[in-house]
Amino acid sequence: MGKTVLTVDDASTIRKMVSFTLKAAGHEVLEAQDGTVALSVLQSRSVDLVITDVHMPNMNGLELTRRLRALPGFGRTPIILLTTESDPTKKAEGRAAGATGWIVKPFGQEQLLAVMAKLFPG
Amino acid sequence: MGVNCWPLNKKGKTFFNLLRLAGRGETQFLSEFTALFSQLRSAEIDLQDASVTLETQFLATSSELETLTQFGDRFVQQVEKLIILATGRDCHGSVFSKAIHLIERSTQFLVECQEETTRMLGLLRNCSVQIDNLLKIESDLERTMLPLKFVQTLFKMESAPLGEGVQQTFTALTQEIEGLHGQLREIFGTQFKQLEETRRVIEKVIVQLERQAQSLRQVITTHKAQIDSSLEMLKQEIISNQDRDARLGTLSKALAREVEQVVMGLQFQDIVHQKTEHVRAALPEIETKFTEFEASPKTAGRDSLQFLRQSSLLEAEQLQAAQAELARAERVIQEGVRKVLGHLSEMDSHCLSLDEFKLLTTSFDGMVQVLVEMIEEVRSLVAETVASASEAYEMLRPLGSLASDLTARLRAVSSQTHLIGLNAQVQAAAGALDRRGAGLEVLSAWTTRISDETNLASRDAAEELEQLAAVLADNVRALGQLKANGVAHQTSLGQEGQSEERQLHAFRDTALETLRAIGDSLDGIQAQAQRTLDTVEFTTFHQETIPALRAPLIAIAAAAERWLQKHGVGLAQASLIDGSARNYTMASERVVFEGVVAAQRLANPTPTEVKQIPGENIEMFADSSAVAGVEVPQPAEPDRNATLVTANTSPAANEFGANVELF
Repeated sequence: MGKTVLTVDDASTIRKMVSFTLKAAGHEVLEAQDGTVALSVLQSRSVDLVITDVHMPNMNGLELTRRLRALPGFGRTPIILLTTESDPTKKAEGRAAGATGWIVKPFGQEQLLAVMAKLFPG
Repeated sequence: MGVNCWPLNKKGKTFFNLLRLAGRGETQFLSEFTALFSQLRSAEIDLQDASVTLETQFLATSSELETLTQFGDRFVQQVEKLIILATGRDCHGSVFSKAIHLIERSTQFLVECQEETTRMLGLLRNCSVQIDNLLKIESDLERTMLPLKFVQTLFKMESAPLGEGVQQTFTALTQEIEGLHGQLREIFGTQFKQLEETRRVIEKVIVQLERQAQSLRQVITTHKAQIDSSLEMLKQEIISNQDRDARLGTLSKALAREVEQVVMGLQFQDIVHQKTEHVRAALPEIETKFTEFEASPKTAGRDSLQFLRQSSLLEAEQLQAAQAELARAERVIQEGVRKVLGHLSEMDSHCLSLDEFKLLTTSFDGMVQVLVEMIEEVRSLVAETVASASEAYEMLRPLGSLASDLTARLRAVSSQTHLIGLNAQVQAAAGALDRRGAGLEVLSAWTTRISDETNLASRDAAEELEQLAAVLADNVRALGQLKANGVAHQTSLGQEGQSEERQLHAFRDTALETLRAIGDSLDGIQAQAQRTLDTVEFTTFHQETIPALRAPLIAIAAAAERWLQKHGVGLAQASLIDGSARNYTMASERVVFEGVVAAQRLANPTPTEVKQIPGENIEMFADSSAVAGVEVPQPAEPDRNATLVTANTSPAANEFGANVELF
């Protein structure tokens, strides 16, 4: 069954590629260009998954993750950080902030779909 | 990712420094550095503008790719639909095979009808022989019983001189004989005549069944040949469709792989953008070092220029890596789109062979037509067989009871004749006792003989009739069964045949419609692939914009190197740029960084293996021969067969790949 995914990235090409990959697999994709817009989107829509970049203007992905985890009812929603960053310290920060996973760009479509399948079996 | 633009030098400050350094022979260096930094700033501004354009270009490619893949998906679905229709993969057999099996089943039924008809024909021919035998028995009986009338008269004459009691006895006997005679007349004269009618009916049935059997034989032979040929065609068609199906699967996977590569390639806009942003973030520090050098060449000169040199080289290397990645991404995207088109064309030629569109169309139409006609023919033949069996059944059914009736009556006659014979013997014996009826003895012996012969003939006739009745009953039963089976088969054939005909027509219509849609899709795909390819044009960014920023950095490094050499400063230095590591968040950037740092320790000079003269926007000073010789290294030629992987990956570490980790 299709899921609703929010992709957060200041790079429109990345949002487009995430959207393209997931929509083709039957999911609904919402887009936001930074953490602030993402929070605004989430006020009116509930989602099954958030895929966010780390480095973004206004509000970065780690801060967004922390804010989301603090929201009621968002404790179990998976949050994947999709970034060019591969520094283990940053990765640990992401984990501590409450992220569910870490994907380094560029991602493969199959990888992203495999992650979806793992997060939402059946 | 947001990086502030580095602060511009104030013209006045530069001028002041130039004046101050002029007396020490450093003017040329300062002029050169000033010009190069000016060029660097200008290139940086161009880079920002070009980045926006690049993002727009990537987005345009993304949109076109999305449309292309939608076309592609639709095309694959259409091809798959056609193959599924043809192989019947999802419905336990194709419409063709189901239709052929229906005809095959009906033909098998007709074969059984034909075998049964042949068997009945054999039996009915025997019936005819039996009736001949019976008619012969009839004439024998007639002949045997002919003297009975005469015997009766003689009995009257012989018994006349005897007592009244004897006369009465013989009168009763002769009346019995008369009654028997009357019965036989009735049997032979009326009912046995019906046997002739029976024979005519049976002969009629035989003719009808023979005609039916012959018709069945002809149709079965023709159909068997058609079915064999259709099954062979179908077998070949299914094999080739299964082959197409397998190729479609392989091509679909290949298609998905190419699209995946293109999708990865398109993410390099963001990756390259971030890399150039990281370079831009490092530029203010480089200019700060230059400012320090300007302010105090003697005290700060050596370390500042060492840093300037190392840092410029480092950023130039980072730009080169970004340039190479973008060039590779561009090539991968272009090749990916071409391969997508190639795979789709391959599907066309190998899976469908649209060149044979007309042939295929005719073939589908032809096969459907032949099968529908065969179903119709079988249906009408089954109906004929049922009608014929019903008619034969109706004709034969009353014959059985006639035979049974006759048998019973003949047995009664036989038994009565036997009694008359016995009675005659008794009476004759009684007459002989008083010696007055010697003639009666002769008569009673005669009567007994007639009685025995009649008894024998009527028993034979009864047996023949019994057999005839049994055969007729068997035939009636068989015809009844044939009729019932025929009606049942007719009903099922009627329902299945209609459904099969509908499916065949639906298949033909869908197949033709899908084939037409596939033809249209392919034209659309080719146009869309070209539109997509037209948008993949990032060369300005990686062949001009990045080199334009990189060239002044290399020139700055070369100028710093000349200054250091002029002042006897060795190039082998501990790395002064260790702190720059913080600028790089990507593993690939750190690899470049570590390479540059290691090269500095080994006193690796400024790159000289480069080939291209910097662009026109680089201003060269008259005596800067070393700088003039500096060329921009070209990005390494990407491996055409290489697939794009993340810049940060190492060999796969988990089920998703090394760049994915679920906590």
